[in-house]
Amino acid sequence: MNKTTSIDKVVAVRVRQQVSEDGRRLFFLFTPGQVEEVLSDIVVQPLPFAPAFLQGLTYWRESLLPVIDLEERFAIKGEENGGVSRFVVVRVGAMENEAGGEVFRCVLKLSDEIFPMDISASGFVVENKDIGIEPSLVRGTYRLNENSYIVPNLVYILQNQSDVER
Amino acid sequence: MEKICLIKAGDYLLGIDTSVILKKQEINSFIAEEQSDEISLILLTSLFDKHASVFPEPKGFILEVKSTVGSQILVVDSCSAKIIEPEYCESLPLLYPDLARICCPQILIHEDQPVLLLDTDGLETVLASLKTDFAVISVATLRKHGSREQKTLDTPSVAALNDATFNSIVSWTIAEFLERGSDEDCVITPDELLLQSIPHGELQGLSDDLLQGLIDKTVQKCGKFHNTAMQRLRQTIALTNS
Repeated sequence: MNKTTSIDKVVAVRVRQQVSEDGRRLFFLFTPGQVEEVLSDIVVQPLPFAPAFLQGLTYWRESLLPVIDLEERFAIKGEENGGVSRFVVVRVGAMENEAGGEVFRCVLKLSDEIFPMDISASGFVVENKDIGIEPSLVRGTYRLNENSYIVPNLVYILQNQSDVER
Repeated sequence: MEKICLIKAGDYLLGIDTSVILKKQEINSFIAEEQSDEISLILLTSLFDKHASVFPEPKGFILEVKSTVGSQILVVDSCSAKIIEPEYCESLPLLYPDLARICCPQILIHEDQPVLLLDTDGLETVLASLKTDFAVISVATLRKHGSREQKTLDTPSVAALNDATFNSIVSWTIAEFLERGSDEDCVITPDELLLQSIPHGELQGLSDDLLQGLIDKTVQKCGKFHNTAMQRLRQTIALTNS
């Protein structure tokens, strides 16, 4: 287990997973630059043959974006899944094309417990296996104040087409 | 750009080029007019959800459309009378199921909503690639389903029942449904045990139609719930195995 050395501002979103006996909770982490908009409601057009985590498409600011239920994607949806959801438009990366570069985004369906926080020196980097999540889905995992934090690998999630087949 | 007719199949909003539509008809009149029982129909919602027997709304439509094999008959929930002429289509975003890409290769935006453009040739390819015919039914099956739906719609109101009687009937039906293997096509009729459980006074005011209608409706809801639950389970297993 390695201690983090810098202090970073991040956006944390609680995972609606059953809280463990020791009260530990699980959160997704995003950088503030990734989060473009948080929406309370959107129109989602479902896609034929889509797995449960791919909720469909939405039309946002003249762009068609895939809507992903991140808890479902990580298979960590708990008994609280009936809670209020938010739709978070996140910037995933940029792709080179003839016009130069194009930003690509997706919409993540998440819980409504969204807040800014610091990942400081008191946070510990932990092995993915300690959290029990498929390693390719995460860029890093942290433990802080007895809670666990996951940085999702959105580029992998968005570009891994094979997971969309079922 | 083509003229597009908007259709709904379950939660799916689709567009179809009007030039490939050979016939559009309400299901009820189609069933009444069609002589043959053997003609095959494609339940579009069943196909897209990869789940058997997702029947359309009672006031659904059939669309006969041109395809590489000649023609296909699609069963959908609704069909808009309004024809739209979209100015442009969007390219497909990342994360798009391959089968969806084959049968809905383009997306148009209508009133700020994405509409999947259905390609009937692609649909034929998808049907062939799935190698199962769970979404294909005969006219006879649709007719049978239609008559059950009609019977349920014609059922008198259950508002006259008291809570205890209503609960007895529903509980008994759910138990019977589970005992018969959660088969949504099972036909359940009231037995002596159920009738004995209902207070005599209540039984007198309970017509056979009302009782059977309530049982049919409960079976229908149980079937839908069971199908959804099984679908979720399969998806979870697929995710776990991936």
